[in-house]
Amino acid sequence: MLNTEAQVRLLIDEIAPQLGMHGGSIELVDISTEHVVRLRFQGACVGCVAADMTLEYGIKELLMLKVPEIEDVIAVNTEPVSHAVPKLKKNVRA
Amino acid sequence: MLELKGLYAKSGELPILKGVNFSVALGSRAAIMGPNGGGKSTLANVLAGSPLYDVTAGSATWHGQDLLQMTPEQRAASGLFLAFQYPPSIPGVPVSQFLRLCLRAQETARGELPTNSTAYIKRLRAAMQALKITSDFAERGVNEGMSGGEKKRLEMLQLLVLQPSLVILDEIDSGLDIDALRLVAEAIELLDRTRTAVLIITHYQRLLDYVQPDSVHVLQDGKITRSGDAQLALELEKTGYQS
Repeated sequence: MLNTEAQVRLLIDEIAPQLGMHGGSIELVDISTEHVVRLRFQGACVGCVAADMTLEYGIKELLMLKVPEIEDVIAVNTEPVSHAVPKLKKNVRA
Repeated sequence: MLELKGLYAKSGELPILKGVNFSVALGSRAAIMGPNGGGKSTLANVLAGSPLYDVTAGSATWHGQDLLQMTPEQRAASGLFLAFQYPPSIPGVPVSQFLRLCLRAQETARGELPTNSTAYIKRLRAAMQALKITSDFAERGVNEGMSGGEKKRLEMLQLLVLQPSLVILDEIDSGLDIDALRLVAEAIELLDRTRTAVLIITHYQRLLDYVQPDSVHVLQDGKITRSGDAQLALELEKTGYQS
């Protein structure tokens, strides 16, 4: 059985061609003791508006479902979509 | 509390429900049994808002809200969940995306803050583990090329991710083996009992061995002809519906 980091590296290699088609790539920065994976977008992904979506709806899901011990996946150089204040009629954050 | 009073419904010109009366409170589980053609599936579909049926008389309320005045998606957002007997497939839409969008749509309709991506994935992951579903399942198309057992497992996955308060299981046990049946029962047990009303529609006593109902109703010829406790299901198994 591979350790967490080796599994994450394998999965990142798996999706590398898809990111590469858009002129980008991603690297593993580190995995904290709390099992939070930190990634860094590179190439055309840097500053791209779709990088958030790629992370939140694609990479995060892939890593967290395939490697059950991972608690979260964040990128060090994008603002996660989930941090944005949603536009709602009720219960708007103060 | 789900409350049905004198509910009549027809399919085209054919009357199917002929005055259905009963209620299910939060925290309780009711079983609807009955022969083929008695109106069981029609009842489930009418409650969910299927356009194939016309309600001609009576009322159906959920927490005092008139269900019949609501669109199917409004009913779903208010907590109604119908597990299909024959779940349709949506080729090309991955399970995980489908569930994420369902959850998001319901939260938006209720005016709640959306569950963030990490929390959603954790919820999905926990539900998949509980149902012994492998991670590849999340990437498959909704019911696309799935076996009968897998389809029912996906219904249960939806149940655990959406956490509805009014659960209607329409013959969820048809075509399931014993292990899958046990999983269905376990999924129901995982729901917060005090906040959920469950309506189990079934032909057989089998599912009720795993999920104990508080009340059993027999739906025959469009009406509730007998009501009782779990004992009634056992009796029916011996005597049949004709009596």
